[in-house]
Amino acid sequence: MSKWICPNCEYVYDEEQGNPREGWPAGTPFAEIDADWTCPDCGVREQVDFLPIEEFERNDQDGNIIAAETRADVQRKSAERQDAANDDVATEGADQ
Amino acid sequence: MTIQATVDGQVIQWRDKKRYLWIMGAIIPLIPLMMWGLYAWTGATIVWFFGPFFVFVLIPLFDLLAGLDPNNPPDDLIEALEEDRYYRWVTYAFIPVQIAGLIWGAYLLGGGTLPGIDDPLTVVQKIGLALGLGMVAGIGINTAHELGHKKEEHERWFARVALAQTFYGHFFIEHNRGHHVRVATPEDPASGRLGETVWEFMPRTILGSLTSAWGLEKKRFARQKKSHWTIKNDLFNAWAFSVVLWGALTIAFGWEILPYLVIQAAAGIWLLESVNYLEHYGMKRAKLDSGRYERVNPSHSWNSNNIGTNVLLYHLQRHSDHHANPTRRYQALRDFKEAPVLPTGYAGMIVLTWVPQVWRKVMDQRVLGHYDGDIGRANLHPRTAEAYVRRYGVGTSKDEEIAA
Repeated sequence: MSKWICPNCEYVYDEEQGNPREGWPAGTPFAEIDADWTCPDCGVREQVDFLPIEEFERNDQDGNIIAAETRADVQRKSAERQDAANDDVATEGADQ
Repeated sequence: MTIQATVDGQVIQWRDKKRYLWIMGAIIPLIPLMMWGLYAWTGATIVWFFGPFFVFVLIPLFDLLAGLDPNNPPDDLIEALEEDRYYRWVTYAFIPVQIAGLIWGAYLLGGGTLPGIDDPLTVVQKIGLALGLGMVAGIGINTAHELGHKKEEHERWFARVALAQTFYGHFFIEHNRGHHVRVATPEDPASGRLGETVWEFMPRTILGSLTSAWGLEKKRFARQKKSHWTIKNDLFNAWAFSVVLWGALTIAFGWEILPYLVIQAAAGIWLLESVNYLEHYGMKRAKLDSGRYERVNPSHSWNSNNIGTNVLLYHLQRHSDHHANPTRRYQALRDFKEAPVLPTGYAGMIVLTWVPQVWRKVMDQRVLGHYDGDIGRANLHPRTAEAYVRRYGVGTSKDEEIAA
């Protein structure tokens, strides 16, 4: 039993629980869900857009997926950002 | 108050300058009280028409004077900002004020008198009052819109309450699962087409949205292999709020109020659908080789940073971000620098829709410019498409290039 995630709003479809309200009884494999079924929370992603949960990290604030394979990238970027921030603090310190 | 978050060990802080302005959203349902005060003061019949005056004159003027607000929260703080419960309480507060105003109005429509209102209202005064209640009702649909998009179940129930006044309970189904899916395509009843007048748009969106909502719920119950004739059908349980509200008002204040309840609902629906008309006017998503439409992006919605309408409509005019992230809370919506912008706020733009010639004069060139002069890429209205193509010509559109 696996879990699938909407890459826009992070709604999770858990095969074990299904989504009976949407017409998918507990145990419905994700592959059996209609391809044009829209995410019940945000409505802007369809079944075909969902990702296995382990492949998803988060999306950036513009709705772009940050998938597991780009995770290293994100970590590098945030490290850079931190460096830059530290530099700023250092500069401010120098000003005073 | 400052919002802060710790990202990678770094503390980020940001002050929301609009934080307390959001309470202004709850002055809209106070319009009925303002009318009471104005009438007690002046005794003039005209003040019963204060509602439309407020929405179509005062708000547009305020937008023109107060100018733009391009402030965005830092990306790293969006989550923390959404988690701040204060913002959602501001939207909840709208609803009891809305209902109280409606009860007050229904009492007067039923021939009641109050201090400062010595005689029962005349028919003309009642029509004005009903239009004022309709302005509140229409903006109530916007409040319902904010709440209906949220993942929390109780907020979706609040949305149904806010929609009860207009009998528009199906809106939160159709909007979330119909409009957002098909936005800026010819198939969407709630996206205005280039060359379509608001008067043509109204019947198309009202009937089209209703049948679409019906179809969505029918399909959901078909998957469950159950009948959709049940109170679990979200259309029925949402409309039930209207039956209870309208029923109770009629029992309390007499059947004479029913025509006025219809007038206020129609005015509210008109206000909301006018906004639908202009939000995506002329915009069209390109069709991909796969047969799907391209994903909604900032170029598919008209935006405005006019602070007046934005504060009163919970950032609805930051519409591109709303369509990119439909579940995002209003306080965290951002302005996209690359998104198309209207010449003024939604309230002022609605006034322009009333005269199609004026609307076209203001908007057609903007749509044309948005598509780099290629009218073929816009969402054309079948009735006027030929005239538009003749006038502006069709270039090689981007999606045709992709297809070739």
